[in-house]
Amino acid sequence: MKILSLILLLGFFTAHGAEPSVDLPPEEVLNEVSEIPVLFNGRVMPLDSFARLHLLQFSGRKSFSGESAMAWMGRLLFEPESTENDAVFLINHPELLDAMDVERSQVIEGKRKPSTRRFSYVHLEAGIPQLMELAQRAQQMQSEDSEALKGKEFLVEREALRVYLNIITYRALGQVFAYSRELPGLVIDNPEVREALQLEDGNNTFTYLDLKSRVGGLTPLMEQAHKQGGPETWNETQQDAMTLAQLMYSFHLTLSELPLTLLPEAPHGESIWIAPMDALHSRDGDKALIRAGERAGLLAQAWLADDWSGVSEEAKAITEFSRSRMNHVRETNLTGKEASYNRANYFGRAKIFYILAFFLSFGALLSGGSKLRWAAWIPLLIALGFHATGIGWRIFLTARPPVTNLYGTFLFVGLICMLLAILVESFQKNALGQFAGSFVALTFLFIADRFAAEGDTMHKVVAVLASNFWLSTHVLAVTTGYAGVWIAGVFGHIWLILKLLGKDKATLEKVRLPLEGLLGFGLTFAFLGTMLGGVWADQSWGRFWGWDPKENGALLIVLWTAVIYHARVAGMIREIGLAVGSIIGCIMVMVAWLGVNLLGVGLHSYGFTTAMARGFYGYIIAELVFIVVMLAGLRFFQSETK
Amino acid sequence: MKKFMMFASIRLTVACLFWLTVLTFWGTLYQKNHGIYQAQDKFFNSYVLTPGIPEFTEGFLSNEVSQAVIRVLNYFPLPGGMLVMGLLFVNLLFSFFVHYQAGWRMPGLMLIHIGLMMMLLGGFFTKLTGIEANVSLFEGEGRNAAISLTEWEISFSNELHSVQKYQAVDVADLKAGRTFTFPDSGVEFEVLEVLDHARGVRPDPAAETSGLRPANSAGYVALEELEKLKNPESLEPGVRLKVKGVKGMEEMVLTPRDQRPLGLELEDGSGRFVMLRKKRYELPLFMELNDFSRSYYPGTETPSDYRSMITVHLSEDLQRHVVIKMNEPFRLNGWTFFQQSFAVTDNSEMSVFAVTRNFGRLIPYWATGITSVGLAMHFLQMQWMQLARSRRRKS
Repeated sequence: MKILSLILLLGFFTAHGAEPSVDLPPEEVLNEVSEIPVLFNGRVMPLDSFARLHLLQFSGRKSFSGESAMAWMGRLLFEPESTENDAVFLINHPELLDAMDVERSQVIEGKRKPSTRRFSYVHLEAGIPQLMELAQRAQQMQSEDSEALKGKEFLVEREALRVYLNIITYRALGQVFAYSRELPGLVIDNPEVREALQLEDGNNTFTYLDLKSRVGGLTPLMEQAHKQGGPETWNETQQDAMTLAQLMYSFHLTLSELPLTLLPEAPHGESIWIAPMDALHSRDGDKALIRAGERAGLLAQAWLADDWSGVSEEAKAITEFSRSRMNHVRETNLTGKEASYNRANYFGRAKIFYILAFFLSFGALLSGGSKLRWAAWIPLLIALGFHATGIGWRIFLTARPPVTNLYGTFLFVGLICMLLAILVESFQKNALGQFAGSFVALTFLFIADRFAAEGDTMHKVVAVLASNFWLSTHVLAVTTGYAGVWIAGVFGHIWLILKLLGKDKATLEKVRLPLEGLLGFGLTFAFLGTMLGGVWADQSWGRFWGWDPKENGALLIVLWTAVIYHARVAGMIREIGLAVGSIIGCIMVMVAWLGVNLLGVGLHSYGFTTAMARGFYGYIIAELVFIVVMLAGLRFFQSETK
Repeated sequence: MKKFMMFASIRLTVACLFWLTVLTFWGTLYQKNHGIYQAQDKFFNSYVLTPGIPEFTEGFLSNEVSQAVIRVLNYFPLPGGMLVMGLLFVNLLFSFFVHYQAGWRMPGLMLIHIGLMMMLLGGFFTKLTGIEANVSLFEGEGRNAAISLTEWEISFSNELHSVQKYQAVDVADLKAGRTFTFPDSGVEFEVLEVLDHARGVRPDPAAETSGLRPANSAGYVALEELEKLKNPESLEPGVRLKVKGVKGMEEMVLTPRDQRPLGLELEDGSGRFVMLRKKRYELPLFMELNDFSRSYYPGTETPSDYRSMITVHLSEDLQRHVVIKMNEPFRLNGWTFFQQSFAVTDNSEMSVFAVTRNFGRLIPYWATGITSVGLAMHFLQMQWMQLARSRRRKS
C-alpha cells in the first residue's frame, strides 16, 4: 500500500489546479440547502444566513460576481477548489500586501487589475506565512493590552489580524466536507487489507466517509499485531492495516471541530451542535447522529456529482433531523422562513421604490403638478409596504422588537420618519411630505446597510437587554423621538432653502407648521423614551440616572428641543432660528444615536468602525457648513433686497 | 414682588436649558478621558464649575498654553449642574404661580411643569439620601452588611474582627483641623491631613528621627498624594490623625493598604482597634447565597442569563427563598438587591449584588408619567388648535 504524504491530505484543498466543476444546483435545490439549520454566534440560523455573514465578513459584499452568497458558500463547502481564484478577500490597506510580499495588483479572468481591493486565495497564498507572523504579533499585543492596536500606526497589524482570521475560516470551511471527498494519493493494494475492508475489485478511490464505515474490518488484523508485539514483528499486511488506521485517526484529529456546527448532538440538549464529520464519531454512539453525519457527507458527494435530486433529498433529511431534535428551539423551525426573508430582500426593493418616489415627488415639487404627486404615491406606498414587511419579518424571526441593534434602529426610524412624512403630506398635499419622507427613509436604509456589514443583524442580545418589555417601551419610544426630531430637521433644511430661493410667506408657512409639529412630536417621544430608560436603569441597575453618555445623548435632544420651543415663545428666535435650531436638532440626534458610541465609555457603548466615525464627523461638518452657507446667503440676499 | 418676577422669566428658562445642554454635551465629551464619575463630580453634581481646557482643544494647544489658559479660566467659574438645575426648579416654581394662575386652558403645560419639578426634586432627594453599595457572596456564604463602592470610614472597635459592634466616622466628613471622639473611649482625634487618593510612605532608613513616629500597622509614617483616577471605586484615601488618650502614641496614619487594624492601648489599659475601610451599611436582613447559575448562548461567551438563589433571613424564625436575576431585583423596605456580576474561582462561584436604598425611588416614575401625559396633551392641543386655525383661514 502506498500512502503519499499525510501533509498533502491534511493540507488545504485536495489539489490546486484540479478543474473545478462550476455547475450549480437549480434554484429550488439551492433553496433546500439554504434552509439547513446551523448554529452560529449563539443562534440557530439557516445556512443561507451563515453564507451571507461569511461572504460579507470576507469580502464586504453580500454576493460574489452576481452569484448568491449561498451558491458561493456551496462551492466553498462542497468543491472548495472552485473558489480558490475568486477574489473575495477584502484588503483595505494595500500596505498589508507589501508586508506579505504579495503584488498589489492581481490577474482576474486573464486581465490584470491594478486597483482592486479584493484578492483571491491563490493570489494571497504565497504571503500567508508572513501574514500569519504579523497576525500572531498583533494578537499577542492585543492580549497584553486590549487597546494596544488602536493607534493609526497599527493599521497594518489590525488588518493582518482581520485578513488572517478570514483566511483561516475560509480554509477551515473548505475542509468541513473533506471527509466525503476522495483522499488523494491513497492507494490500498494489499489484498488482505482490501478483503478486511470488503473493498470491491476496481474500487481504488477512497473517502474517509467510506473507509470509516469499513475500518472496523481491520480490528482483527490490528489486535493480532498488538498481541504479536512491536512494529518490528508485524508483517506487511499488519503494517498496512496499522498505517491506515493511524491515517484515519490523524485525519479525524486534524479535521475535527471545524467551524460549521450543523448537527445537534444531544437528543434533549440545546446547546451542543457539532460539525458533520464530528457526528461520525458520536461519543454516545448516537446512531441517528452518525447517520446524519453520513447524510451530510452524501449531500456533499451529490453536489460534486451534480446529482441535484440527491442534494435535495439529503438537505431535506438533515433539516428534518435538526428540527426533530431541536423542536423546542424556536429558530430551528424558522430557518426556511429566515432564508425566504433573506432572499426576498425587502429593504433592497424598498430602496428602489423610494428612489422612484423621491424623483417623482421632487418633480411634483418643482412643477407643482398634482399628477406627478399622485404618481409618487404608488412607488412610495409600495416601498413603505416592503419596508414595513421587512421589519415585520425581523420582529417575527427574532421574537424581539425591531430595535435590538443600530441596524434595526435605522430601519425603524426610517419607517417612522416615512409615516410621519405621509401624515404631513395628507394634510399639506404639496408633495413635500413625499419628498422629505422618501429622502429620509432612503438615507436611513443606506446607513443601515453599513451596519449590516458589521455582522449578524439578528444576533442574540446580552442578558441585560433581554427584556422585550423595556425594548418595546424605552427603545421604541426614544427612537420614535429620534424620528420626529430628525424629520423636523429635514423640514428645517427645506425651509432655509426655500427662504433663500425667495419663496413667499404662504409657501414657507407650509413648511414651518409641520416643522414645529414634528419637533413637538419628537420632544414628547424623546422625553418619554429617555425617562423610560431611566426607569429601566432603575429596575436593572438600581439608579434612575447616571449621566451615562447614551443617557446624556437622549437628554441632549430633549433639552435642545425644549430650548428651541422656549426661545421661540420668548421671542428670542424667529423662523430662521427655528429652522437652524431644528437642523442642530438633527445633529443632536446623531450625537445621541451614534456619537456617544465613539466615546467607548458607559453601559451603552457598542462597536464602531473608523469608517463610520469618519462618516459621523463628515455629517456634522456638512450640517454646520450648510447652516453657515444658508445664513450667509440669507444675509447677502436680504442686504441686496434692501 | 417685582424683584422675584425675574425668577419667572422665560428667558431664564432658556438660559438654564441652554446651559444645561452645554454642560451635558461638555460633560459627555469629558468622560472620554476622565470617566463617568469625574464628569459627574465636575459637571453635574457641582454648584460651581472651574472649566479647565475643553476636551476638544486637546492636541491643538501646547502644554504651556494650556496651563496658562487654565490659570485664566480658573478666575471665571461657571455655574455647575446642581446650581443650574436648582435655578431651573425655582424658575419652574415661579413660572407656575406667575404664568399659569389662569392657565387652565393649557393643562398639558401645567402638568409638564409639575412633572419636571417633581423630577428635579426627586433627583435632589436621591442625591441626599440614596445609598449605593454592594454585597459579594460565595456559594454558602451569608452577610448582613453591604459595602459602599466609593465611601470610606474609620472604624473603631474593641474587637479585632468585629462586624457587629463598632463605631465609625465617615472619611467624607473629615477635614484638617476637625476633632472627633468615640463615646466612652476617652480618646480624642484631631485630623491633620485627609487625601482623596494617596499611598503610605515608609520612613527613610538613612534619616535620623527624634520622638515618636506616627503609628501604622504596615509601617507607614506619612502620606503621599496621588493623581486622581477615572474610577472613584479605585481611589484609596489616606488619613493622618493626632491622637490623645492612647498610650505611646501621638499620631497615626491610616490607609486602605494597612490590611490589618491598628491596635491602641488606652489610658485605662483597655484595647481598641482602628481601621480605614470601605463604609459598611447594615442591611435589614441576612442574605445567604445557596446557588449561583449562569447560562450562555450556545457556542459563545455571551451570557444569556445569570441568577442567584438566595435565602433571606428576615428574623430568626422568618426566612424565605428568593431568586435574583438580571432585570429582576429583590426589594425590601426601600432596599433593592440587583444581580450585578459574578466571579468564578477554581472551587466556587461568587455572585456580586448591587445594593441600593432610595426612599424616593418612585418620584421619578411619577414625574415621568405626569410630564409625558402633559407633553402628549399639550402636543395634541397645539395640533388641534393649529388645524382649527388653518380651517378658519381657508373658510
